[in-house]
Amino acid sequence: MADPLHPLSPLESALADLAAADRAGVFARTRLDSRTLMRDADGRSRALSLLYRFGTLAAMLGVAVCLWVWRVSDSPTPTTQGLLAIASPCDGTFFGCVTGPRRTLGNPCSDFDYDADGDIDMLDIRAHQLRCDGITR
Amino acid sequence: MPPRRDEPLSPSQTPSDDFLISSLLGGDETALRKLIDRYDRLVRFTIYRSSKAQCAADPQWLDSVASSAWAGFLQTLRRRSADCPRSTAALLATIARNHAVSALRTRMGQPLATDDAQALASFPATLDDASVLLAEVELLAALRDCSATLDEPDRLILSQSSLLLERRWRDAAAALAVSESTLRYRWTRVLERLRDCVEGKTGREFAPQDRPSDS
Repeated sequence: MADPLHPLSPLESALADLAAADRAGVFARTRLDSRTLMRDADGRSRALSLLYRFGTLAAMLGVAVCLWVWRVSDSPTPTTQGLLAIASPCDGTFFGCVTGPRRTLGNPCSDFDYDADGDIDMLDIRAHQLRCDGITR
Repeated sequence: MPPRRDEPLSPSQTPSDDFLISSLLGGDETALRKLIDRYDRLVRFTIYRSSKAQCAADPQWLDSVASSAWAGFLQTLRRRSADCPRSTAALLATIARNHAVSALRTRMGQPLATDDAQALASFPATLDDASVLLAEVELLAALRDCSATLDEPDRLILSQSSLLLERRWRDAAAALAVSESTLRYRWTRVLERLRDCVEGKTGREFAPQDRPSDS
């Protein structure tokens, strides 16, 4: 217990600190096996490095897949895209040619068969709108 | 002059921290041992300063945190690869402190002891403050070494320091079988010898008010 009438000098305070630190084991040596420590750190850093590499690879792959899916879903269907160059007239003729799926086309309407499947169905309507009306998705 | 990293070390030379770290990164286990010899005391003292209460309550705790701090140091070095730290002492002090704080916070369901909270609040926060810790631990180490060099009668008096620092002169005098006035005189002499020795070792000069009082 500190005596207010006889305060400790800094050297005495240092002695008190030293006694407490000694009791707590500050001046003992940490029990370490340096060989195990190095092996562990090496193994852990190698594992972390592998994890990092695989993680990066997986992330890049994921991004690539996402981009591909996005592009595929965002772009017109391949058949429509291939046939957009058809020089079909952008007048009301098209709507007289709509047959629905799997119906046979009359000859004058074949220009509107954007996906070349022998009918004028919803896919062809979409392609026609994209080409003539400037409708975007 | 410390050897360069790529120079072989002669037995008489004291390797620099940079040299030891680059040898360590090259897989030299001896370099790690030398760094531990050099800085283990700082690591342990930093942890102790972070939580005196916890260290007093559980002596094993200090050892386990110190051990994890060394492992953390090694991993940090490997992450930095060729880039040596600006100050090894500062890096180690920071790592030791962080490990102590983590260990304190992960104690299951136990609130931070008031003493610990105060110690953490007053703890050096920047890397540059590691020099303060180093100075503190060097002073204590010097004091410890000097205590060991005292002659037998002085060591006997020092063995009663817990009573003497509480100013329980009568109890201490009874334990040493000397008179109280003799004990006061001899205690002053012990402190003077210790002060001279510590000043010689550390170069730190105690200010006049640091000199032992004639209590």
